[in-house]
Amino acid sequence: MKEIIQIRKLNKTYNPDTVPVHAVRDINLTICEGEFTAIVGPSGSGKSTLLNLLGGLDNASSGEVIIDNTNIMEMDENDLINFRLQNIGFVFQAYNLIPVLSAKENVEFIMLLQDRPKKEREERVKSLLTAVGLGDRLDSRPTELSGGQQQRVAVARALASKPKFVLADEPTANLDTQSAETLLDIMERLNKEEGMTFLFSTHDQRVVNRARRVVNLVDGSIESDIRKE
Amino acid sequence: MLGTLAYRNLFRNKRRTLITAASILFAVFFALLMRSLQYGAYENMIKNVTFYYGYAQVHHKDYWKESSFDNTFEPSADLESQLLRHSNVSGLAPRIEGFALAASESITKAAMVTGVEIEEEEKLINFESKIRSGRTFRKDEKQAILSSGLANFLHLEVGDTLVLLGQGYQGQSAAGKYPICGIVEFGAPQLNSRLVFLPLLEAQSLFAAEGRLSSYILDVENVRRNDDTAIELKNEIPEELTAMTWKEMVPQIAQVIEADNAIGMIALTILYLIIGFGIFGTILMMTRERIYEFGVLISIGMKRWKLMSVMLMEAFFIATIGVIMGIILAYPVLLYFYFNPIYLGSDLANLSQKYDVEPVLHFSLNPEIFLTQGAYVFLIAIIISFYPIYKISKLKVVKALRGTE
Ligand SMILES: Nc1ncnc2c1ncn2[C@@H]1O[C@H](COP(=O)(O)OP(=O)(O)O)[C@@H](O)[C@H]1O
Ligand SMILES: [Mg+2]
Repeated sequence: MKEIIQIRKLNKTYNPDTVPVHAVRDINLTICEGEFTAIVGPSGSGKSTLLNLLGGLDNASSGEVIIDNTNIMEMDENDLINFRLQNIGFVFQAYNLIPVLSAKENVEFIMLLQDRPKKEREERVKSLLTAVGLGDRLDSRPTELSGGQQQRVAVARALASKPKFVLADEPTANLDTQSAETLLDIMERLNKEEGMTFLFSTHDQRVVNRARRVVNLVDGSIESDIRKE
Repeated sequence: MLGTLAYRNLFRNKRRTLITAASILFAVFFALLMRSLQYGAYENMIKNVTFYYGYAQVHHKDYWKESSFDNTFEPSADLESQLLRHSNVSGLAPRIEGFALAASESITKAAMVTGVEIEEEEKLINFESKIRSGRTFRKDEKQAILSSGLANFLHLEVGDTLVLLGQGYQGQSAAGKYPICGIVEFGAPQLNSRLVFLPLLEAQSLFAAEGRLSSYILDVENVRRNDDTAIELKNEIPEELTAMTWKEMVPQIAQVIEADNAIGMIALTILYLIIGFGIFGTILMMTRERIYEFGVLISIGMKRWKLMSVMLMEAFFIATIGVIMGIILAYPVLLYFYFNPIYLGSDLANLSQKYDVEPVLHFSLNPEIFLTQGAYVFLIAIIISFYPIYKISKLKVVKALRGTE
């Protein structure tokens, strides 16, 4: 299988000069195309820090994050924004959406940033929102959707840009069990049917059970990395 | 797309948008009111000076220091054509001026006697528009026009006879009797209380100064170029003559205007500051509430400049609406007061007479006021909107997402 993310000797220390916090320690990790991976660990174990580094949202203290033969730690801010736009889909814990845009517009927004043609945008918006089960809520504003529905729109948006992989930092943390299940069903299906690579963090055991690869993080270090068959 | 986003954001927190636009509206409204009142006063003060002195005069170089008949001059066709050749001078009004005692049967008062060519005064004194009773005189008539203050003091009316007594050119005595053909009323209290007008020839003969003039009042085309025009003329005309602007002739008025304008500017600055801080408060709140969203947008791949331009457009929309509404609201008010100036009560009126200003609050509709005040307030609103723009430029995405930015 093709390797799409290679993490080498990655370290992140917050406040190195005052009260150093080693949030990520010497992490080596390779993510392959089509994987459905959960980063698991208690609160404060460094999940968000790791995902932020993978997404090029923050600078590492040392080490490399290589995506598509490029060490993103060496890119400048502007190139990085564009790199994220073209290569990475993001789903955050909550409030992912632009409140003044409808579900449809939120998904279309990212393709507008990419300057994709109108016809492609419209087709993709429809099919993606249908795929996440919101084909009938195209014109709803985020405030008119439930938390679970909003996260599904966020997943649709993350996929709309045709990224190499999707990063989701605790996407189910604010959802009730039923909505969390639905969201995972959708992510799982998109992973199987479209081959989309998902990397998500969680500290919820029920969510962990759905992953096919589980990376366990303790105090910023990988304690175990288990692939299920 | 960015425009749509900016536009929709206006309706996101309608109350806040409304408060911001209303603050801008009030700033424009009050700034316009203040400036209109000030400009109105200045324009009126200048009018009350220039209707008589003109914007600029040519006279003997010592005349303004000592306005005796020794400092009058003999006009020549050369001089006239030289003055008229200047691109900013479109006409000349010759005058001779002298002091005399004005008397009715039982009362006497010092008066300023001015000999004028009535047709040339149309753009200056404009007797027709200021006549309160009677009529103006013709070139060759032996008649006098009195200012109403003087007429009242002397208890004289149209048809009565005015006696003038004084000293003329080279010490000759000057005396004459003149039927009064008209009474004019001027806004400027001082001038209104002492002016007597005679036809130019009549005045010259009264003062035994045939063929001599005290001054040429220049009809200046572009008032803004007045100062330069006077300087240019000074260098061209014969050495014994000089050109003076109204600011040089009546410096008190120019100084009063300057001082009052400075106070007005301070008041305006305070107004701008108060409103500016108010707007800043709402912008501050708006920015703080949107930091997380900024973080998400930059994360998913929106360039910072795009986000900044959304903010700028929002500010642009709100400022435009506020400024235009402010002008729309202020205009009819100013228009009303322009045509219906406020007359002050008698207490204030007495006071203002004492200081030689009309007891009337005039308003100005000078387009400059609308342009500058509209532009200033607009600019202030835009400058304030640089706060979120600055924030976006400095935003640390991770901190914004963690809510610690
Ligand atoms: N900006 C920061 N400054 C200092 N310490 C931080 C900062 N962000 C996170 N940390 C610390 O780094 C550690 C890992 O945090 P985080 O990556 O958020 O863990 P998780 O997502 O697993 O809860 C924690 O101890 C947290 O307090
Ligand atoms: Mg976290």
